[in-house]
Amino acid sequence: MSAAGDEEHLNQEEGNVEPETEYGIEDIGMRYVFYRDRKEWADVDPVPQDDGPNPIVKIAYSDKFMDVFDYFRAVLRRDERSERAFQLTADAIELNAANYTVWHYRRVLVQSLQKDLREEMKYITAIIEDQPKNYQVWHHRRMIVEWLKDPSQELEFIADILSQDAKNYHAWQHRQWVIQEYKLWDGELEYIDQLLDEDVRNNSAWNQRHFVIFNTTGYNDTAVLEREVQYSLKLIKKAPHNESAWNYLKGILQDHCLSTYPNLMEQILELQQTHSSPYLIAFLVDMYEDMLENVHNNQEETLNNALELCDLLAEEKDNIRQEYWKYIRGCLKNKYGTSEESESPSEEH
Amino acid sequence: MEEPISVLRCLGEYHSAELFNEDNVKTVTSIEQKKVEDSVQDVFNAYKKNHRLSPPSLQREQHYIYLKRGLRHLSDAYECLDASRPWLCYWILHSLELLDESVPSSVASDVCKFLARCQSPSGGFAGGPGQHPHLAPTYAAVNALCIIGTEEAYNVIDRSAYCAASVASLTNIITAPLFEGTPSWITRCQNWEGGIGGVPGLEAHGGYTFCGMAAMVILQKEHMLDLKSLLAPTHPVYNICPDKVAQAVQHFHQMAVPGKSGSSSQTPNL
Repeated sequence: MSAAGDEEHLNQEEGNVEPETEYGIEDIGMRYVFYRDRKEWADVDPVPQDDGPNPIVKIAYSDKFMDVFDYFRAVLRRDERSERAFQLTADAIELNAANYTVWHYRRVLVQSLQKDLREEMKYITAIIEDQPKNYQVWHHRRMIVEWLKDPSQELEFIADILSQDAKNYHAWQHRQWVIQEYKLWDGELEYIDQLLDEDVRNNSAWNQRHFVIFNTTGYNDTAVLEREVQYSLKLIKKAPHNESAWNYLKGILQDHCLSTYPNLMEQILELQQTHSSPYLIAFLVDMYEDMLENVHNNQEETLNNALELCDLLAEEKDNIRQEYWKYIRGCLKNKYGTSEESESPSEEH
Repeated sequence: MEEPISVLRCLGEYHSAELFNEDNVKTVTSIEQKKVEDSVQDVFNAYKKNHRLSPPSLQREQHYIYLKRGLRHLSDAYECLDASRPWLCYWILHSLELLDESVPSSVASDVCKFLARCQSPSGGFAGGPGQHPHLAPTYAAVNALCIIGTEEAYNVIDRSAYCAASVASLTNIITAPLFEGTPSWITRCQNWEGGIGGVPGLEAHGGYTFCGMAAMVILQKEHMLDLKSLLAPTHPVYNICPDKVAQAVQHFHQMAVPGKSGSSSQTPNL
């Protein structure tokens, strides 16, 4: 991934050279040359890092690392805007792609030297493919896209990154930015369907589903809401212990009267017979709670149902969250229980 | 009164009921989940086989040695964190503090001098000497200096620079206009799952949820969040009642530095 200019330095054998295996160039007898040994950099005095006399968290940099950054510091200090400085940033980035100071300077040079932005896109594409979980590389890409005013490659590129790691947070962030900024909503729902078909448990894809629908049709459209409810239930039947599907179902209904949604209670109770899970039971608790809040008949029976399920979850079905279920139980009892029954707030844990 | 030592969860009768249920539908997520569970199960099995093994305990001495060394020297494997050196200071000092290990005053002084070299003349701290300032290392550096808590440490901080909520809180300069838009931005980051994402629209994420919640507590605006859905059981981390979360955050940010020789025992009011 070295900049094209590096090849020039690989044939020289003056001064202090080091066999460089990472480029695989030993095979063709080429060696890496330190900047301090490059004739064309002889006019620059390298600037060593000033850690002080008694450094803390001192990193044992390799010779190569120190050499590159000594020259980077020099270039930064004199604010040199040149092609050689530009190539130096690529070397620095290769050694530490998280150095945001180097990335910033590279962008200054891209603009100063009026570098070909399409070439820069090729460069950043390769870097991201190699290090997709770095913040700086995605930010850099975003800047190039903005300067070019051209998002046309983005969705395909991000899809490629996601095909390697379907949950890469940086990739999803970039994708949401591109879609929202350039209004590229078309086809995204189909893309999500495909991802969920590959992995129904991909929470990032479920999140994207919500993002797309929320920002296009919205969930207030009854046809849309029903479609999504049925979509979720279908996938729940396929894999009942999929937390994401249940979270999505709750998420889309929580502002739309969970307990009065037509037919839902019946469907859930029916599912409980064949496709039960702790998530289903937790969902029922949410439904009962919503009923207690909004539907004012049968309060006592509803409350008892809810409390029973809290106990079931705490004691057996979701034991690891028992403190949470005991807390919820206490809240429900306090709020909806009759005054003789209400207990003091749950004791401190 | 001491509680009786309970049986380890992993040795309990119903522990296996907590294993992930794949529903006969294999996906990348379930494959990865099982890999983790299998490797953890290996550790549990070792204990099941040999009940005479005492329950796992924190290897304080080993951690202390590791941290003490790291505070001075790190291998070239850390080149990738060359732009995060205040973070390295903070992670190490915070760990030492949690282990109740004191930092010798000469080391503490060296930390102050090093972080001073990471400070930018225009304000804030950088990832290393000579780099540009950045909010993240600023947070780390200020926290590291507060852990040290000496007069030298507090003198390193140049108060005019900060905009981050926690930093301002530690140095007592929060004013209303400074963070006007912050609480509503954070509430916009709370999503349909109840957690908080990096920007509005993004998936809820543990790290951002902590930071978002912490910032709101510092700004005393946590009521603006939907606390109920924030605590919904999407993750066992939230297996506690809401007040505890707020308390934990306050504790983390306002707790006085433990009194040790050579360091202040109180967070000074600057």
